[in-house]
Amino acid sequence: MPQALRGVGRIPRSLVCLLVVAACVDTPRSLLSSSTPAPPDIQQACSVATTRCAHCHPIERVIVSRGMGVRKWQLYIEQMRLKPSSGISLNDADIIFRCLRFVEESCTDCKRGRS
Amino acid sequence: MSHSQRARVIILMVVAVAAAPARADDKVERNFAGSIQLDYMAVPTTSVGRKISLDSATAEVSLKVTQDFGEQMSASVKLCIACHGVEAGMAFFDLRVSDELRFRVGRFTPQFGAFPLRHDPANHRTSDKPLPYDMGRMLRISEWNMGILPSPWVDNGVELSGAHFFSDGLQLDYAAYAVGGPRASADAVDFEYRLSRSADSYYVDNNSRPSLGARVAVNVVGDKSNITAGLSAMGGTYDPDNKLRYAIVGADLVVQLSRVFLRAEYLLRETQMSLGADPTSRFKYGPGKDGKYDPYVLKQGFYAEVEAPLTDRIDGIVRWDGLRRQGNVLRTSALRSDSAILRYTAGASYKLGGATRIKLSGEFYDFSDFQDEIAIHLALAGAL
Repeated sequence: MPQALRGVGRIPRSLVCLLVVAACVDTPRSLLSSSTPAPPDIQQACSVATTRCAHCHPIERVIVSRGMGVRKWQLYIEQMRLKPSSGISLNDADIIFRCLRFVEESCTDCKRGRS
Repeated sequence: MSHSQRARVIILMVVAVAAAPARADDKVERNFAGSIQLDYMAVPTTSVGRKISLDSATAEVSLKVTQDFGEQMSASVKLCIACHGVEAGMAFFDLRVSDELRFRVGRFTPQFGAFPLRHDPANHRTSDKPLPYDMGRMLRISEWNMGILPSPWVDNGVELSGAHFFSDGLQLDYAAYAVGGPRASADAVDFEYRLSRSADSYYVDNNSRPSLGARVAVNVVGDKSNITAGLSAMGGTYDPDNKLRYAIVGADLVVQLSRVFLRAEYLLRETQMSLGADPTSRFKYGPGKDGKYDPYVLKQGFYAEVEAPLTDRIDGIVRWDGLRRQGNVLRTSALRSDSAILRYTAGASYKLGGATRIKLSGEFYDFSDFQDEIAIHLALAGAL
């Protein structure tokens, strides 16, 4: 066995420990800005949206796309739902859209109608 | 068509699609996405890093336009600019009969493993890719001929796929495809990746036989968690004479606990080598006990990584990945009949603003056949 492969058994245990530690220090991030209070159902919807979107890409990619318009968010969510292993069911797609519609409409400094 | 002519054609395609007016009454909708990364890789353990790697600065740019033609058809074109110059990373139609039955036709990345879905530098936290999916940034790239299946693997073909939700918490995905597949010259001993992106050999299949592949994945979804497990396979011939076979299999697992991710993948490729007219002078090692030369090479690769937010702006990532190659080698090769790399990576990315981040990572390479090396990456990456 090549020298490089010796002592590899310790690594998975280290990764598991790091995972546990990392889970403990997880800092919640949200699509909602702190300046716009959201009703509880929207907060819940945005929690689901954050988890689902972050499965494949950083949540910032959603935040920088604000201003594109509600119709285009529907389009995006459908495209993302159809990605392999998206984990976004039809029910989840509705929930995510509720969140993003609120995010879109409450974004006062967003330039509207960009593509 | 020359490289510059091809670049102009691709750019014009993307610009034309993006600029053409979309008519709402036709239910034609279009969106645009893109990303940029500039990465600098230093190899402080070697005086001239270029001798063992493609070090220093590299830029990766992608511009993608997707147009929906109603609910059942869409088209995507993606332009990529990186080390190879301008390439079409995507140019395909998606036709959707139902969620369970979709067709993709054109130039695309076929479904294999979990990482290729996040290959865009704006979608992952390190500057480079896990070793099994490395595309030119690993140290000792020439000796190892990269990893198992460079990502993104872009190819012409057709893919059948679908997904079914048995409930909101259980999703099953599948895909099956036929693509041109990897290429090499006659009498090859491994893939020759340049032939897949060379206008001189045309962007067509080199042996008139497609490579076939498939993937199946199960996704268990919770409110703040997601577990995806998948199996992938791909195989065919890669030489012009249809004599040299290859097969790649892979398994992947992604566990998401809120914003913390554990990802692991394993890939294995068996590649048939041409023994040539005189294997004794061609190969470093002699025949086996049966007096015959073994024409097969086994290449394995894996990675395991944990990614987690450390503060509101900083994400941390640690990764352990590696490659192992078993089988005969050419006399000119610096590898042996059993060679390996283990790499240990620690990195962090700092959110500057919007979707723009600074990425910093350090990599320690433990080679079985060469001196150990260190690589340091500093990158600026962002989404458009």
